[in-house]
Amino acid sequence: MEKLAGIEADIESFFGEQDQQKSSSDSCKQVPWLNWEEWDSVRESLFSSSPDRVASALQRVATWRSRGSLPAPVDVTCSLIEIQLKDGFIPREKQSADALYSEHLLQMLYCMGILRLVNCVIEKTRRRENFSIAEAAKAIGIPRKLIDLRHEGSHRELPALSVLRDAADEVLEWLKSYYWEPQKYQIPLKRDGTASIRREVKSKLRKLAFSLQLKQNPQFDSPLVKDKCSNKRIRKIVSSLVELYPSFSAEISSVLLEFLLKALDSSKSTGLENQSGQDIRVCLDEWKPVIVEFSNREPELLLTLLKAVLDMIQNNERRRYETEKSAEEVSQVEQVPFLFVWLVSLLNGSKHFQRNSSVEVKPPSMFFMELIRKCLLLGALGHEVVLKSAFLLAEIVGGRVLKEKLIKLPLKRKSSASIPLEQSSTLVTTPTTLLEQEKNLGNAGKRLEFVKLQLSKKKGNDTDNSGNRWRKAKTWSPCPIGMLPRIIGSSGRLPLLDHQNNAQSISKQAQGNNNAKRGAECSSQELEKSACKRARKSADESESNDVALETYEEEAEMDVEHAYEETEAESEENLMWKDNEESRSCLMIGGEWKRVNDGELLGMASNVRICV
Amino acid sequence: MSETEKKLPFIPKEWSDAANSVSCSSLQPVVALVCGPKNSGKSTFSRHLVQVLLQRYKRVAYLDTDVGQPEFTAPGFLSLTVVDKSIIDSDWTVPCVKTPERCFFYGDVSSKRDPKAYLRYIYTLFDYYQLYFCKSSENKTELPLVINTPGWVKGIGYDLLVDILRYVSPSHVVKINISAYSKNLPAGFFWLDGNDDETAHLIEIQSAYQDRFNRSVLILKDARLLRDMRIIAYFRQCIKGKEVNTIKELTHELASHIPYEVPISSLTISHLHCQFSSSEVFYSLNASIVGLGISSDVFEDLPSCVGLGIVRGIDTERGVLYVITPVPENVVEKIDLLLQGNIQLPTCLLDVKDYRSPYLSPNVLASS
Repeated sequence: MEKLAGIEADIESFFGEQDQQKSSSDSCKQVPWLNWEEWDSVRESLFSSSPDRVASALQRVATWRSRGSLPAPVDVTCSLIEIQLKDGFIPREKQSADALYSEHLLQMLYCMGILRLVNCVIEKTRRRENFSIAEAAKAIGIPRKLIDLRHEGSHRELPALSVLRDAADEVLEWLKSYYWEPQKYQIPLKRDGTASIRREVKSKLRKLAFSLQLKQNPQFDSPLVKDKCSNKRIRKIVSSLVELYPSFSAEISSVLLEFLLKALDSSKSTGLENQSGQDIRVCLDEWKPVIVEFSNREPELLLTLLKAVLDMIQNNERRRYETEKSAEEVSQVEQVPFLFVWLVSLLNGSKHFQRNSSVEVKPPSMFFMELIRKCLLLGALGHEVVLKSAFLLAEIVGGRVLKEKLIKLPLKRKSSASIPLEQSSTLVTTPTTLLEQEKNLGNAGKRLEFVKLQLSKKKGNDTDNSGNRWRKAKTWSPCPIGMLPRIIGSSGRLPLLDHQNNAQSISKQAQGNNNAKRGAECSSQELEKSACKRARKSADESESNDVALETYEEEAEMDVEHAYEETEAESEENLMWKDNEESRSCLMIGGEWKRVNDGELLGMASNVRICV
Repeated sequence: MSETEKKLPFIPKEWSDAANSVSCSSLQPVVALVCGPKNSGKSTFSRHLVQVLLQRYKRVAYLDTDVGQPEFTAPGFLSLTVVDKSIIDSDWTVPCVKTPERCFFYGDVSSKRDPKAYLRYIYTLFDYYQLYFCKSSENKTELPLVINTPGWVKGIGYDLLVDILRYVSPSHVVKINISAYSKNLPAGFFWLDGNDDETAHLIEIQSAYQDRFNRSVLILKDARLLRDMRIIAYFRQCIKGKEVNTIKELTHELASHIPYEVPISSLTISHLHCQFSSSEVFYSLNASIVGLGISSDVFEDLPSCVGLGIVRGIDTERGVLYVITPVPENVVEKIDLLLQGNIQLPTCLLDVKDYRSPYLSPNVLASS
């Protein structure tokens, strides 16, 4: 039996405080909608002319009703609209199947709607017993006629249907002016589409960059300039960006990325010869204060940027063998890794990710391990700088121990792996090399399975997944109730609450599959398919196969190192696969996972056969 | 509130006499039902009665039919609990939460939402009591039963009370009257319609506090406040191992507390009072209080319920729900039924300093 000593008095005093606070400015009220966008879309659908939209809006309001705390004007509006839909006498193109044609019933329904309007909407606003209902109605602007109709409908004969119908229209107009319009204007931010968000974000970022630059180079002494770079103004811009972040994180990070890439391009034009990227760093440093300021308030920004840049590098890698690439793209491809290095250096310096920081937030290790994994992959393909940053990241997450572990990994260097195009005369030896590589892969896979088995035996009988529906969430960061957690930071992201069918979850599962790396066997299968696809595009079979094979071999070896993490990840992926009834295979085409039918697969396979 | 100041409720002599007469009764089994108008002191009397009965019996059963202010569970439940002597030392004014023998999630704080279901749950709970705690044998003794009722004594509430009385046929009925005569229940054996031959003892007592003019002074309680308090007390049990002394700390802890992750496909989700199309389910489920049920543990076709949970997030991409619940882990694993009701989340749980829920908005028009 639990007791609550101490907290009860606190609860009572808290509630006492809250009652006093109701009149304060920061009075929050509970609402049944997730965000104001939902409310706004319902508002538009309710007053639209398409019956489908109206029906879906009414459904949504019924859901709101079940949640409680639905404002009375919304309730009355929807009741009246629903009654109007049921009115079979109102001329429209297509009457619904359950339209009513009984005049008496319709009279009763309309009367009830008007009754609820008067009682629910007015009653709340009038101070009791001082005013009559008529006076209270006049105070908020309800036409007197509606009060009379209510009185007549509840005490005397039901008013005429046509009168009631007109009154209903009038009520809806009045509700629009009393509630729907004023509430719309009170919503904090109005959104009209992604394009305007991007513009807004761009202008804010530019302003921020400008202000910070001025602040750092105080050359001018005029008050105008001082005003532009004052701390207060900077804080204001950063706050507005941080406010936008939860709902529009993708847009913000993509806009920032655009700016950074532009800066990269501008450095190229100054004639870059230096391999270490000094000039690049100088150009990128323009943006350093902006990103540092922003990420101090919103630590997740840096992580999203890192992930985006890594994905970009990976995509570029996958498309390496496409022949139609412009010169700009090629040079950009070379420079993006330097961007990554620069970002990691920022991360290193950020106060949120120091090992002994006083900030409570600790770096999310699973996310970082994922990043490190990708970096190692890319490092094996020859991006040395990326590899070095991987070591830096490892130090942030796991300290020197992890960093040293990673340095010890047997990663082949680029020089031994690459076979220049000119020496492709070794086509003769290709089949045996391929076979050898395949055998190596197979062995690596077997080793991996063995290690996994050992580890699971060591863990004991904990891996009984059969009855474990309810598990404590593995990765969790605090977030508001009703939202989903972000990787880091406290803002939370809004959930998508539309009931999805299986179709949409397939593409996500495919990406998950890629992440989990279920051992060499699986990847060799995909390897053959993707390698063959590349072989079709480029004339040089051996080089691509070698490089790709080695890539996956590296994968397999690294898998052995990170096996313990994968057991967990794999069981999670297993769960996801079980849920999906129609699992279709996915192929990597053009650098992206795409769903592929069996028929298409057969077609591709036959094409490959012809080619080889 | 310090431990030394235990606010003992005032028990007038009339009450203690009544309790004693119930306890010393020779009628077996002792089934006592307490009824009366709102705020007349029913809960206080029931507790006193339980304590008196515990002096004679080792354990006492308690059937809680007040779904808005239950004694041992969170609001929204109808439950049958068995208490023993350990409850005597506790502080009655502090809401205490005890695991019931059997409970059903009713899904609202008033019986008016669904009177038929309400009656069905209560009848089932009484049948459960009769089956398991009523027959005496060598190793089981009969337990006395105390039934608490809500204070709704007019209209539908009155009809429900009469139905319950007819079904249960208690051995003792304790009726508390207040001085405002019209608010009381009718005098005498009001639930019998003349044909039944009842051997129940009817004990009529007055409410405890009376002023100089012999008018009852009712201790008014803010029902909504009490309910929110009970819900918060219930969810406070989630937080183990940390000192939580203020509301702010509690709500902050709950927002950071690691929830359970459960795949949506392994659960059946149903709303007890409304119908939705399947596309709307998540909109009503997010950030709401649900009852957790085990569909395999059925008694008279009703699945048992083990507790409340807050669905604090829904990830449709991964197909999982995040649920906070204080139910112990070994019981949680068997849960496969989520029952939605009309119990609202207390606003203070949503109003956390850095983690304000999106369902709490500062931009609501003042007049609505």
